[in-house]
Amino acid sequence: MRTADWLRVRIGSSVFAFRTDAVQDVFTPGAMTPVPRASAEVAGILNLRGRIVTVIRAGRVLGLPDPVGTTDGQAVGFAMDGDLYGLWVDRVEDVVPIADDAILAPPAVPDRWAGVVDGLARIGGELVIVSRPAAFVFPSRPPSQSPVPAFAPLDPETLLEAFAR
Amino acid sequence: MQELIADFVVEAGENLEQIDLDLLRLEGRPADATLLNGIFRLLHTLKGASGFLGLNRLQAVAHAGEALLDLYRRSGDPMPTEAFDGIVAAIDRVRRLLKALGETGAEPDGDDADLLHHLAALETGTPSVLPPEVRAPPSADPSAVTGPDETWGAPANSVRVDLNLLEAMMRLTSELVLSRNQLLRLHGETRDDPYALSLQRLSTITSALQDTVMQTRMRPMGLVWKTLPRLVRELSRTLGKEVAVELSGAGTEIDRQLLEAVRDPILHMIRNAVDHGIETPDDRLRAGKPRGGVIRAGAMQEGNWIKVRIEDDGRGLDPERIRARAVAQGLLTADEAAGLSEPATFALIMAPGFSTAETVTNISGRGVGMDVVRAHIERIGGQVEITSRAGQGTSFVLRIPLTVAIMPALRIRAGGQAFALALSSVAELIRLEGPQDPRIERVAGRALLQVRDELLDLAGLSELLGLEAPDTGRFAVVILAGERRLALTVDEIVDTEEIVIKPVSGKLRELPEYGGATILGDGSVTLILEPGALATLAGVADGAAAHRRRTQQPSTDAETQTPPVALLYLEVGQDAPVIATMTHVRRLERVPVSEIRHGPSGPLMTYFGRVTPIVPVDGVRLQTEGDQSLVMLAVGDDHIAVAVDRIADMDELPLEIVPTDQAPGRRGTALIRGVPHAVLDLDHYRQQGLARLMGAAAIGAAGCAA
Repeated sequence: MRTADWLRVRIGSSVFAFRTDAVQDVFTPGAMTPVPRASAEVAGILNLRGRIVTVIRAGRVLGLPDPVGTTDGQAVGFAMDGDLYGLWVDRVEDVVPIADDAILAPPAVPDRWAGVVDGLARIGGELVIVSRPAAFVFPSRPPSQSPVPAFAPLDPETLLEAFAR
Repeated sequence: MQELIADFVVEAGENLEQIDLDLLRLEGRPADATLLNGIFRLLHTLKGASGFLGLNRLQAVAHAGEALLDLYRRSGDPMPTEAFDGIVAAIDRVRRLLKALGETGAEPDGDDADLLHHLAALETGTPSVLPPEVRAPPSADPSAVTGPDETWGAPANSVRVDLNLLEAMMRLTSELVLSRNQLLRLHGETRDDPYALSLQRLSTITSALQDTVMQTRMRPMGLVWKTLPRLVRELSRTLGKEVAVELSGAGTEIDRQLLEAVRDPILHMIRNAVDHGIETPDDRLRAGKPRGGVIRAGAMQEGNWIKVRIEDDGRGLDPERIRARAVAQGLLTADEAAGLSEPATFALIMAPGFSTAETVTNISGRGVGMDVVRAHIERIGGQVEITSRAGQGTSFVLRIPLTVAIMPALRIRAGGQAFALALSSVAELIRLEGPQDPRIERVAGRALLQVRDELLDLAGLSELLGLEAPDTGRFAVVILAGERRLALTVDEIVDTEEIVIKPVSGKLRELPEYGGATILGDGSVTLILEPGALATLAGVADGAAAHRRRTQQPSTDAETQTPPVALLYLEVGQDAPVIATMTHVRRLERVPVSEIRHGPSGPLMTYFGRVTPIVPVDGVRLQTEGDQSLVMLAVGDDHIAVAVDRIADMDELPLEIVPTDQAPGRRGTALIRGVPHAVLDLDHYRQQGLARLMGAAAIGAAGCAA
């Protein structure tokens, strides 16, 4: 039986677990530059050791109110498509081993949660939501729209060869 | 082994590109031994390498092609069309096999018996028909490629470097530049400490390293050019047209990232030129033109820009029909359209909405995808200009920045937040007297700003971005987005800084208003605003701003058209160096403070035997010991001495003063080598001095009369 290490984090009253190999580091979100017109879950961007990290507020993805102390909490750093993100959670708890067969299929959950709940596991007496930090980046996974429209496909018959480099 | 194959695919791909080009030339000169030998040699290399790697299909096809070529290479006979077509078919097959090899790491299943059989038949002179599934070979079209022979291969003393390694090097260098800037900032003005010299050296070496690394990223435009002859050839054949391609500036180098970014737009413009620009042979003959059209593509470097010109000698654009179309689509009112200048009209074909119309090809426009072309070019900080003459052709000029990674930026603040704008997109800075500034006019719910003799769309940056803090409207930044211009009100203009652009994450890429982000010297992160997206957000229509211009001078040319004027760099009070024009300046002096006397109306001295008032610039205190720096202004035979802290330098430059600063004694701001400088109004102090001279004369006269 395979067992992996999972990072437990608290978001609101729930405990989520991310595989540790999906997590690059844990940091305290410092001064952030807000991004006007970005979706609500984007807390801002910050400089983490010379790299720009987009910080996502996990609670907002789940439709939870922001914690009272707005600068509290910790961020789980991870990479997705070559970009760095930080998932801002209320608290990072610890690392626990979870056996693959201890993970149960996800229950029916509200829409907002559906994208981020991969399964459930019981650790000690506590129910833990098995998830991936990257699942919080595009929670509702809108149809991916490039800001600049893509080139309309050219007539493949005539151009296929010409475009071959 | 896989590494060897990957290397082979890359190398063979480059060889194929050269073969394509040689084949096109060979078509026009079927007996050219040099070309024949060149193709033969490349095929031979391909055969050898694929044999070594156990790539049997490739080896067999290359071998058959080589054998056929060898026949004509030895005999010296011109190659007949069938044999030529056979070679083209073989090359096409090689290309397909290589593509599959590159994707899967192995040759695809199947065999090439059909093609091999055909090639063998050609070699022995047996009649054979090209298998139908093999691509139809080109008909002889000797005019397809003209222009000087240029090789686009890499020089012999070069090495192949993994792109990721190059990117990592670039990134690290950018970080080094930022750290350098940070150090310089921390070190600040302390000039005599032991670090100064080392820091200076570090700074110089960093800049040199940055230049060198940028050099490694440069790629020749020829990489795009060499795909054009074939594209044009295939397109014109499909469309029943005759089109030749003339290429120039293949050696012009551009950052590889930018080259990738301009490749598709250029191919689209070429496609448009063939499809919509060049007429059919019959139409051309009827118009008194030669049967075949010509498309010229050229590239050249101009300072920090690459200028790419795509030209055709086709039917040109019809401004009337474009205007009518724009009105019909509701992009403009009929009145607006009537007043639209020709350049602004042509710009309309790049307007979103205009180009997607199905019927556009019927109105002699060529809008297919031009909005997308413009969006892509503007995204990398470039611009597109269109000129056209009915019946004579159309010309597109792309202005593309040479490098993209490090650029000078203007830092601004709005709604309590800092942002950066590429300095290349900033036309001018204007100081406003808040929202009630008399130059701001409101028409039909739109705010307009009078700038000299033009009215520009005006929008608050804070409002555009939906920031909570309202605009104070203290400054306006006029930004350029291609043909469109927009005056953005901001709270503060901070300074200019060299910045390293980093792309924003995928999550934020859905926001077109940001071209990237940067880490500043103090470690903070700032978003880089995208002028094109802001103009769209503000609802600036294409050509709408331009048509309000009463002068047709593009503002970007203002600097080159302004004659140079003599300038003084002065230090006055706490300000950064200010500049002043030399109007009325007769001499620059340093006089011992002992010569300065203090009269009832202010300080005086005797200068060439005459009483001369000394007027300190606001913020300047007269020296109490040593020498006082004075700018001597002429008033007839008299002088007015304007006191400054230091006369730093003199220069002669074209100067465009923007009346940003309404404070007395200031004429405004001028960009000098990209840095905004306050311009001192020496005449203001001259008038003060003059008043004192007059006052002294009046008192003197009154004294005499008494």
